[in-house]
Amino acid sequence: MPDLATILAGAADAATLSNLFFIILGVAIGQVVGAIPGMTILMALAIAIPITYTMDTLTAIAFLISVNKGGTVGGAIPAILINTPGTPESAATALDGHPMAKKGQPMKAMRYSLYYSVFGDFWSDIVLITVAAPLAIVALKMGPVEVTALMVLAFTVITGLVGNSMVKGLIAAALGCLCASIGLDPGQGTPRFTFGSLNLYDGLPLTAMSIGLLAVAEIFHQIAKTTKATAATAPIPMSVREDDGRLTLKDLLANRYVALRATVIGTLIGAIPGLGSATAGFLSYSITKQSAKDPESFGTGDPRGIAASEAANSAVVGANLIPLLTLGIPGNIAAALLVSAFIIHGIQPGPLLFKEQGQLIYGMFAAMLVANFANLAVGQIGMRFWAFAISAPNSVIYPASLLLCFTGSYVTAGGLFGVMIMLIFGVAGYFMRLFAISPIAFIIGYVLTPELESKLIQSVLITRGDPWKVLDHPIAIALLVLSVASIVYLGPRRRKGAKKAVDQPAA
Amino acid sequence: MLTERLIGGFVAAFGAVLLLVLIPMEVSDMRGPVNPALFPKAAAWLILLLGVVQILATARTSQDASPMELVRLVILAALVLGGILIMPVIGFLPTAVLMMAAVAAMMFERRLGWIAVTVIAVPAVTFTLFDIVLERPLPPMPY
Amino acid sequence: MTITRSIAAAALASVAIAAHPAVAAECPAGFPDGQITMLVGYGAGGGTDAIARAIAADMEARQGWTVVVDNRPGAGGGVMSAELMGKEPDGSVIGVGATGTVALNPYETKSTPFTYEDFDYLGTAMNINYGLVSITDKPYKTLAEFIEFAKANGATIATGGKSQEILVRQMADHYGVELIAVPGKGAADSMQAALGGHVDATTQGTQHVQQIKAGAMVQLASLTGERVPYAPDSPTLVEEGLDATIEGQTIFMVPKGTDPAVFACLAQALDESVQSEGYAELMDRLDNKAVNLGPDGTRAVIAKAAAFYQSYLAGE
Repeated sequence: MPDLATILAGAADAATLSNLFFIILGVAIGQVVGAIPGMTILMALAIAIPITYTMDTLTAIAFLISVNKGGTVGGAIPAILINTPGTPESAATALDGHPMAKKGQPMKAMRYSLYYSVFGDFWSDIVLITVAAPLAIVALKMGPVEVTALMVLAFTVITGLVGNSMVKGLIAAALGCLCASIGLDPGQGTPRFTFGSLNLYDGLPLTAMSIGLLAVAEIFHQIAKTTKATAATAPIPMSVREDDGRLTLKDLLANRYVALRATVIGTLIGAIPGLGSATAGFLSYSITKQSAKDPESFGTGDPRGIAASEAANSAVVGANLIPLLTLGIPGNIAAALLVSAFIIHGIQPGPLLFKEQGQLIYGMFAAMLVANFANLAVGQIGMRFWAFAISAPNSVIYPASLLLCFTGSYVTAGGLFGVMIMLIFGVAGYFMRLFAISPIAFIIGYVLTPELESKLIQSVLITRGDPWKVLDHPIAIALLVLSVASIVYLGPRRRKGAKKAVDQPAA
Repeated sequence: MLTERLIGGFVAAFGAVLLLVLIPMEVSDMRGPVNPALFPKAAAWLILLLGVVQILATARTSQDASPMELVRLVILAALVLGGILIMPVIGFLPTAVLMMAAVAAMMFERRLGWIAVTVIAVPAVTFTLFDIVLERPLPPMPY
Repeated sequence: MTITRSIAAAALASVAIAAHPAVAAECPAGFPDGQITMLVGYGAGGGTDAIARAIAADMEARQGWTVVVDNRPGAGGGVMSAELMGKEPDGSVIGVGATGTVALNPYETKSTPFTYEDFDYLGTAMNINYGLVSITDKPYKTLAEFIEFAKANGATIATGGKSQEILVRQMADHYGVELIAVPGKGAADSMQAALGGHVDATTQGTQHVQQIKAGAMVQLASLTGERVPYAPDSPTLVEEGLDATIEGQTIFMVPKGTDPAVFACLAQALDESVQSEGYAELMDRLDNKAVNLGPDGTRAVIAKAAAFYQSYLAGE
């Protein structure tokens, strides 16, 4: 741990007008990119990196981190306003955010989302700044065997998100698991379901698939159901009553335990490389719903749903830097992009980083804290703009979203192949929604399976195929016991909730 | 109820096709630490069994769609497919304008101002955003 | 901003051409006709992408061309190669991949529609310094000690790709010990397993350099043709009597049958950019150095690796 002088010097470096300018700019870019259907924050980061070549190191890194932070706030906007989450992590936010907006409270839903997102992000930053090194060492104890057990636990806990029909939810998850096996298998590299196409060797492109399944399916639905009578209306009704959009401190504090638990989940998941914000958001939402006294109110515009999802997926953003800064291991693709930015500016992330670049790192920490406040401020202005934009008629909003999704899939998946995937999953998603087969359960199966399979293979190799060796891994045993407990303890309650929710609209 | 049973039947049939045709054809079944066919087979069995359970479903959870809505969906999907096919030939901008014009027509929009926004401004802004600002090349127009 | 930069660069370059025709590569009249596209076989933001973009920017400034970088990720460069193979061999499209893209992929998966002979090679820009490394907490510090350890217990080695797995198998055969390759999802995944002590060693291309400098890891063996500057005491496997290396060059390729004059012009342009000061700086930051094997050298390395993988994988 560097001395106080280094910390103060770093903070002083960050406190320049040009840094502040680029932090605000970065946050604004991230929020806008995150909020545009079809664009993702990974796209924004990949593109922003070359722009930073000419900046000085601290400014460049502060700018990129701000883009990333802005993106986590922006991603919730289309999920809430038009039910088109472009990324898996904002899909859980849509579950309660969109119903709240449809009830005429879009501003309120966006406020909840913004505040809880920044809350989760802020506290995970604090964890990063204060206990990064010890937490990273704990995270390293999570080897293949432990992560396999963790994925088993995630699967059992997340069944709370399967929707109204347990059987259909499980069908969706099994289909997701099946689609996840497309591509080269993680053990021996043999092609599976590639039908001779090289494009499928790395599996389905996740971005194009999520855009199709989550966003385009909804756009198709909205355009297809339009009649002459509904053509000129706006997507969601705006409340005329002023206090519908207002949010008091009391409202926010009412969900403090939910937000706190979500932050803890997000921070822990973020500290373990490779798991990602979608897993954190789904886990947190599912646990919150299943442990609530009234699980049936989730999915109808419950602020706890927004808090559980947003605080958790945003907490991953700060925590993902823990393995990156202490060990040089990027925790997800966004962190991997930050690594290339670091390297281009002559900084090698790794165990020497704090020692050699202490002042820079503390400058970066200061910039991160400033970026959280910038996120709040820009978000306040931004949500008014989005509320205005959404007042355009359906005949503009949905075609425009469709073209953006089309172009975004083209750009991220490297060509028309990506657009084709988007189209296929758009149509599939439409019918899944129609038949109440939860697309979210599908995405969960799709996101969790590769990690489970890869880690299971590694575990088998490391234990030489001897299942009793699991006894040498106490953390794994504890996680497996928790999985069993979650089935036993959360199971019956879940079913009761599901029955009550039958008459609710599908998620 | 019939819808629910049909869904179950369809899903179960897909599971069977997976197990009998697709997996033997497209997945190599070989010994190793973990067989590459393990996860696909497990998923296929789950799909088959859950499909059978779904055939016995008691509660209706599906929603309704009018025949008109389904026809419009087919047209819309065909439009996007058409866009994918002609984009390499005529370039991004003309494709986008044509697609937006067709979708705007499907939305019954009659107000010229809004039509102009959808058909001209939206493609122009999208092109500017991706191709120029973000420097991600989109298919160019042939000269 | 980048647009104005490239315009300015083009203007500068055209002035330079007018004043000193010898500065730019010697190209046939009328080449290039329009823009040159660089198809990168990996995603935006990665290492290969950074190299391609640095070279492209330098070419724009130096030659006065318009070079557009476009990513075609997938199948370890395979998607890019398949697309490149179908392009006109007129020098307007350059592919950027790795040695394994053309030397290993075609033999690893039978449905690959190309072999290395479907392309001509302009040269290379870098060679990744692969090493076999382990954390310092383990009871071995040299290759000999590691093999001794493996004799008693067997050893697990986290890998990040087929070429690394094959190398582990070659080592196991050579030394007659049980070495188990544990496939990771990538270098970071393998590194994490190694740092946590869950495996006994790992093969790495870039991330291990900082770990070695920090004293957290030792390099047991260099998997390159020559010893590497950051671990001069670590012998190559070739020195130890096992003719096994992992070739990790960043390669620049064009479709077969490109006009020799155009090919020579592009190869020269690539060489000028690889040898430039700006590129050397980037390499410095990557703890590596600029290496251009040239058209013939590149083809020779690829041909040798391809021949090896073809016979090795056929014997499986």
